[in-house]
Amino acid sequence: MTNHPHASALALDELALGGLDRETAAQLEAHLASCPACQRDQQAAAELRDQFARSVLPRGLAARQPRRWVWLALPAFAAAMVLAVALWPRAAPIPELAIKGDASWQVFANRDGQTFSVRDGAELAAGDRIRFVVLSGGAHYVLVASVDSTGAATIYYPYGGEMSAAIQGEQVEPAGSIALDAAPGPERIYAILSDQPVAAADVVAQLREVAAGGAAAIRATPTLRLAARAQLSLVFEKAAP
Amino acid sequence: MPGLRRVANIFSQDGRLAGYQTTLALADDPLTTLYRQYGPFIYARCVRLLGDRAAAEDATQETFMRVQRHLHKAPDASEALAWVYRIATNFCLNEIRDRRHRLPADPELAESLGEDLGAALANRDVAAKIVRRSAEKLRTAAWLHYVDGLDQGEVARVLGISRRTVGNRIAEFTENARKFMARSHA
Repeated sequence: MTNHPHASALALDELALGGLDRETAAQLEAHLASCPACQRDQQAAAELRDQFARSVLPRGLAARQPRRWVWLALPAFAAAMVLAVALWPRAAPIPELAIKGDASWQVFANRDGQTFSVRDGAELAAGDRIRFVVLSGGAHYVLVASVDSTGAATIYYPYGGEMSAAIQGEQVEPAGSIALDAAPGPERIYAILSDQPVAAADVVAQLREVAAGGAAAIRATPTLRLAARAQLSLVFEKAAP
Repeated sequence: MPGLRRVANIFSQDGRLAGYQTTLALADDPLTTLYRQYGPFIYARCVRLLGDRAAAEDATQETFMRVQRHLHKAPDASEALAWVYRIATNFCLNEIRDRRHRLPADPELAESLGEDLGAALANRDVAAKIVRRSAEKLRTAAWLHYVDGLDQGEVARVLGISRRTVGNRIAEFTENARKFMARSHA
């Protein structure tokens, strides 16, 4: 125990990363609700993280681009990348997502350098890469998970986390993409938006229940039995390779 | 799944939708993954340690250069933040040590110490000033404990040392702080 009855910097950071177990996160949330000093620390840290993400991170990443990319890139591949960069939506596509205030999301896929929006029921293929942008609609936490026809349940965001991730700002734009595997049949992804963190284990248990019903259940189950401010869901079909 | 696998581990909370070329690079670059995920947290930490955003930006870059050199020692995801914390804390406190040689006496600190060491160390600003003047081997543990508010178990986790060693360092720091307080009052 420290000399002052406040949350540690490490604990606050792990909470923001969704890295605390459910019980510890709940205890910390309860402390935060009643401790103005820790709320100020949390807010100050969040503002600095946001400033870094907006102003410093892009420069750091640009400086970090490995040179081997330049030398290893084949001309055709490089051309595909230029096209992809041009087509991949750089600015936050808020107007296309929903009326401001609603929780909503947009899912994109990229195939061979071509980027397109994924609608419910879309057909995708192994190797396609998908990304998403989630508008919080005022929710404080988000967790994105998936279930496919092999019964595999995966926490996509925060990847491998035990709890929902805290939302900084109005939207979440996870970096990187998911490369779809070769499992054929439907795959449904869910975004769980909540005011309190949701345990990944609870979500996975529900996803397994859905998967137990087979492909038909995956196609027909757009919401899970969870306490959440909003649930977003989308199913797509993967053709057999 | 023949030939293909999921690469969702390149997700991070603070990342931006910056472009597909970056995405592909990230999939092959563990350092960039760590930088995206933990960089914002380390920057915020460095601001707190150094009290200066420009210096903190440099310190964040230096931290990740050290991460790169020791990437083969990187722990799994559950301990990665604590690991990068240690590297950043050591770097920043070394920076402070170098500045310390140029620091003049701080009469305000002597005044703010008061008579109660426990009360002084419970004030994070005062604790930070004392820690900056402490012996190098005690400084990191004392900072984590008194300024960042980590309990001794958390300090042991971040520093990769035993809890007993942490307890000894904290006790030695506290004793030195007591002597410092006595000298200040004298």
